[in-house]
Amino acid sequence: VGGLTAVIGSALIARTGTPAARFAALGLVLVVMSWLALAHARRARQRNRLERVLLQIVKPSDPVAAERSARALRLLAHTETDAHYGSPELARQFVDETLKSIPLTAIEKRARRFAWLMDGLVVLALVASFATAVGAGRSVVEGVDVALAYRGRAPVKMLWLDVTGVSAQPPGYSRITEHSILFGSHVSELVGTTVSVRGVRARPGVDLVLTDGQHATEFVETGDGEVVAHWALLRSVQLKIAGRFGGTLIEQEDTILVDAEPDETPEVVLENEGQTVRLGRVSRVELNYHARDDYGLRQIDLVLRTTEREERRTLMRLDGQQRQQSGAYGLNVDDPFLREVHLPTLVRVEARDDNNLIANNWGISGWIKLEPPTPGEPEAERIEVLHQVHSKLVTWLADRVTSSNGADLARDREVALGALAQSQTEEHELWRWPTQVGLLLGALNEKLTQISAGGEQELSVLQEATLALDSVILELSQRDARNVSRTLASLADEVALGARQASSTEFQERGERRLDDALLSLPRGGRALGTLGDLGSDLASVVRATLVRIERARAAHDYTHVQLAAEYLSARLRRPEPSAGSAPTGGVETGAGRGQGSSRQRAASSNAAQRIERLLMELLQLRQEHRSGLELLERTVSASGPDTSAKDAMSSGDSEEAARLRRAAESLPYLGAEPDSALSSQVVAREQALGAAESIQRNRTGDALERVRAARDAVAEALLRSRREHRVTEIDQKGLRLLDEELIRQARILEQAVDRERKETGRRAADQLPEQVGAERQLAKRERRDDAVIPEGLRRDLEHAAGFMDLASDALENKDGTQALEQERRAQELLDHVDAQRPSRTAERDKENGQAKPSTSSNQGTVTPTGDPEAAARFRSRVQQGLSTQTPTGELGSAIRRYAEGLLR
Amino acid sequence: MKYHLFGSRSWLRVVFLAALGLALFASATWLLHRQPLQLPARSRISAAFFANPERIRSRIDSLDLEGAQDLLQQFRPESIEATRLRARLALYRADCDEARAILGPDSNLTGSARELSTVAEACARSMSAASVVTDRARSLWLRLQDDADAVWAPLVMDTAAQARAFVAGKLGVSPDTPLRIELVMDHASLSALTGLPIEAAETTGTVAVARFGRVTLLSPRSFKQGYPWQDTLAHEITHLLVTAATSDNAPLWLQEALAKHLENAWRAPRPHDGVPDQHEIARTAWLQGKSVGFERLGASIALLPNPEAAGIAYAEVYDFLDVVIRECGWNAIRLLLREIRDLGGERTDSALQSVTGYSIQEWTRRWRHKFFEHERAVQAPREEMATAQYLDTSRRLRLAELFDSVSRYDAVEEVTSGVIERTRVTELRNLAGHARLHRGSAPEALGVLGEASALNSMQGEWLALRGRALAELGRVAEAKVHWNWALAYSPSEERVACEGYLPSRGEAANNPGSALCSAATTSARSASEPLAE
Repeated sequence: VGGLTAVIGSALIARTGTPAARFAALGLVLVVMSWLALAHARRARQRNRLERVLLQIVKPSDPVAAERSARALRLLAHTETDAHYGSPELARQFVDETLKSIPLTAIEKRARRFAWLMDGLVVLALVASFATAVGAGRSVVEGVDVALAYRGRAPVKMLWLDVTGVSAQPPGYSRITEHSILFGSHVSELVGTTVSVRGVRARPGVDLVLTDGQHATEFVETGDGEVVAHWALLRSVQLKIAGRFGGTLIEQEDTILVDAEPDETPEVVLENEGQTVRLGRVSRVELNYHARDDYGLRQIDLVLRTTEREERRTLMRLDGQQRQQSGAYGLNVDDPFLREVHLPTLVRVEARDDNNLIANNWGISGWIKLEPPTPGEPEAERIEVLHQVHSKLVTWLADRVTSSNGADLARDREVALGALAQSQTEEHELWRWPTQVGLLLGALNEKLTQISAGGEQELSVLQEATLALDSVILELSQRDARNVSRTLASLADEVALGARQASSTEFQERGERRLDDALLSLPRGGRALGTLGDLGSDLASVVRATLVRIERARAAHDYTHVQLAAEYLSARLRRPEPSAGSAPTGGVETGAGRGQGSSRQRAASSNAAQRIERLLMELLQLRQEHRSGLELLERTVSASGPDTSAKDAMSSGDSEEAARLRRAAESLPYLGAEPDSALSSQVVAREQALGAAESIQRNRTGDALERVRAARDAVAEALLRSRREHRVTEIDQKGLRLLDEELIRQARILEQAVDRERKETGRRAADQLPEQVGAERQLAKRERRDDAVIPEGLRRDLEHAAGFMDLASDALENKDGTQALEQERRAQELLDHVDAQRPSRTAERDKENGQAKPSTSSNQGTVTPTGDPEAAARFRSRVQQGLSTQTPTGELGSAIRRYAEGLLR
Repeated sequence: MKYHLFGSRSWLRVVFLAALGLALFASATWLLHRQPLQLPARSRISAAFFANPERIRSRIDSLDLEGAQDLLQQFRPESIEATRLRARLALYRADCDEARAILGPDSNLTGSARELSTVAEACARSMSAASVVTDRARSLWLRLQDDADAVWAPLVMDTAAQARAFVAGKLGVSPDTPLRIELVMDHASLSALTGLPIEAAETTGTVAVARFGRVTLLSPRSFKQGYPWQDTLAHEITHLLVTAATSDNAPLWLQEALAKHLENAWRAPRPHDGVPDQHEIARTAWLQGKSVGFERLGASIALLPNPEAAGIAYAEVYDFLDVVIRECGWNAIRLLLREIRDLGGERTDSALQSVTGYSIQEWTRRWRHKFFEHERAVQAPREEMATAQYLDTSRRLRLAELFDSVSRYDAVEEVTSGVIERTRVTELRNLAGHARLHRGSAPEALGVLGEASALNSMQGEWLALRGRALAELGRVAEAKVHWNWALAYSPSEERVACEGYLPSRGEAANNPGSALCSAATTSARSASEPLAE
């Protein structure tokens, strides 16, 4: 009974669930049970011991008898060990007699009284236990369950919730509505789904939770007497309902197994992924991609990555519902990102869906590797073409010099001219001819085609042509070598940076990759550089020798020396001078002093390259000066540029004219009016007339004339509208007519003044023209040499331009500004035609930077060019002048003007 | 008691003090002449006392690098001066990495240490991971910036050893002085290793510099036709040995004069030795008022404004010393060097006067007096040829080169035929000679190649072609001499290395298996097909 009582009490303590309570409960049971067991064992052990019976049973009832019996027992003990005390048999007999003499009545009486007491206690305990079992039996069971829990889980499962419904709400990006699922089943839901379990408590007063064994969420009361718990699904779980007692859970038997379906990242496929594109061979890289997602795409990006940096460009933003999307992106080779890198660039497309629940929801395609053109490759190709043409010329000249037979010479001629023609017409991917080379090739083709076979002229022209081309090759290769050298210096910098990174533990892998890339391009560039004449060959030998040292150090994992060698190479290539300097001799610290040795640089034996360069410079200057003159003429002829002398001529009497006009205008009423009404037109006429008077007062002839015309238009409009609107009373028709008459008179005076100005300006422009005519003639005449350097067509164009300028000069002398302007424009067209053979400034700059790129547009059309800011500015200027000269009239006049101005912006 | 220093027993005190002074003097002398490393540990303190910066610097300048190292070990390692000296010593040992590491970043340094740091940094970059060839038996060390030069490294070593032995004998210094030679690819590296401004190197066409105990030499590969590198090497070795002999106290004029005198004296005479005549150059410059003068030499001849001034300066110092040597002999020069070492560079005049009996001014008067001993007309600077003729020759030369490049030797002969007999342009004769050799006409080739005296400049290619022509005529011994001379100009050039032939263009060389020829042919082939992988 004691044990039972202890268990019940302990269960009630343990039910609080805290560890301390559980330990206390278990301790109580243990202590009670142990005590009972010990008492029982003790009693069993001492049952036959006379001393204990005398002491515990007899002595409380009859102390004298107990004492006497004890003495008898002691005597018996002495006789068994010491014969002097007597016979043991007698002593034993004495003991028997003594024990028999103990009175039993008192003892029995006392025993009965104790038994009654104990029976009462047991009954009392039984009653109490029964009452507890009846009143809090479940709590006792729960307590026992909690007390026996292992790792926070009770061994016996219990019913806690009568589940009335389970629902699942998938994440928003999936656009799936909430749906019910069966409790106790095995279902699959998207990651991010909220699972809600709803039900009625089976036993009140217990905290309920929904748990997966690791985490738990509490059930909360709803308004309808139920409880509900929401579970955010992040991984596959087995959800259970449990009652929580402190830190211990007593689970419910049935569970629901929910598999979490992860949201797949978008699948992106890039056409030709994994391949390598050599940028030098294409002008544009087409990136065709297709992205797909199981629920919907939100964004598609293009990612460009080099060893050093990454750039992300958004290609498309979507609504998050579209499940697949295809697209294309054209990456130009002159894209700023690609233009700045010298190492391979990786490109891929990435797409993400609308799922914000996970950190990285980007789907990626494979990489496409973009290999920048090997530095020097275009230049090497270009020089190679020139070398081929040159070698044909040399062979032809050699045959001519050695007086080979006519058939051989004819064949040489055909081969050489064919090579020349092909070099001019061939379409090249990576480069185009610099202006001077283009001019020379044209001139060579022209001259060599014209010379008669076998004549003395053939030899001299051929010789001149060969040496001229030789000098141009020398010039071009030297210039290209310098540009390529600087580009290679950047690659050497990459090697140095890579080595620095590789020597650090953190960036070793990146540094190695950078080294690999740079050391792949650098030797190629060095080999290309080696084809670019003496300077290129010289610098290439430096590249080759330094690369040997770099590889040696790298093989020994000595990145410090890799870096140092690369830094040396970079510094050397940034100073692309011949190894032995430009001094022609080794003059100092040599054995033989001056006259010994010579630099690797070879002097040109023809000044053709310098002549062409000078001609082009002069042409450019001439063209710019002529354009300035033309624009001046255009301004003056169109009377947009008032002249001080004209102002002086207008100064007398203009105040009176202005006062007359002002009086006429001020006679009109100044009333507020609705737009587009007769009254508003009248107001406009008044204001324009007053403005014209002001301009007359200030001697702004052109402006005054324009305003007078505008005022007349407004007067006519006001009269017309007044007739339509029948609002005669508000319109001062008489005043309007008087004003119109005055305006006509003023317009006549102003037109005369403008004409005087034009003539005066024409006279001044005529004074300037002869200088330009002379310059063009002189240039054409100077280049009229019988050599093969300047194309005949260019000379003809120059002479024709000079002729047109002569005509323009004559026209100006005859005060015919329009004719002069026409002739000037034709001369300018010819000069522009000559200049059109030059590459645009951008292309020229790219070329100078060693980045010969294919041309994408031509400036030769008559439509406003988009790529030439100067031409666009000229176009705008001309249209504006036209608009200022010929004011659009009529109802749509202002609209036309606005449109034209918008167009020009 | 009154104390008397010179009292009745003052003689005893005097004797005692004298004995003490004598003992101290003897100890100091003994310590001074004793190698510090041999000192027992307890004598280190006294050794450190003698290891002062001047003494260490003097050891370094005298190229006694081991001695300097020993002294440095006794010097206070924490002092700034010790750092500077250790870096300097590392540079003299050509250990640029160590010098760079010792000096650290430039920003912390000032003055000479900053200059040392700049040189160390640039040197470490330029020669990073360069290969080294050593000949311990002959105490020679050669570092190659371009591995392609390794093939003729033995030639460099032999030349250095021969020149050192001869010059050391002439100057009275040890013939075993270790030599460190750096062979570099370009002026930029030459400048980096020596601290010579690159603009100065390019302006004056400097090809070698002796500084920091090393000879830095531009590879003949840098020049199209090479240059007389053997004489240049001997010239620079002379500088090093004069520096060692005088503890770097010799004035610049004496340095350059001795180097100029000895640069080709170490070997047998060759064509174009003595061309141009240094005496004539000096005389003409003096009479035309273009004399540079000793006092205007500056820090280096390489820093003069142009090659012409450099040439005049060389001629003047050479001719001046020539007068001294003719009258006093080489023994006087050896004595002079010793005097300068002991007295210092600023007392060179005193040294010269004590050795020869005349001061520099007196010697200068005597030297200039020689200008008028043989009255000759002042020669105007020789024009190679009239401008028009030069232009014509230039065009012919280029055409001949172009024909040669496409193997049209008949056209080469044709285009050179009118001028070959009278031209002094070596390249033109080379082309004409090669065309005839290709045709198999060695006698004609020998004729158009002409004699050395008919050339405006000596070239390895000309010597090689002449050797080939002589060999084809059966005069093999003469041919071998020519080929050896040719190597003294441009050993890396294919025609020189292959004894007048061009195997890369299909010509069968006599020595195709030789390392020099093989390397030169490979190099020529890769140059003609640079884009091949």
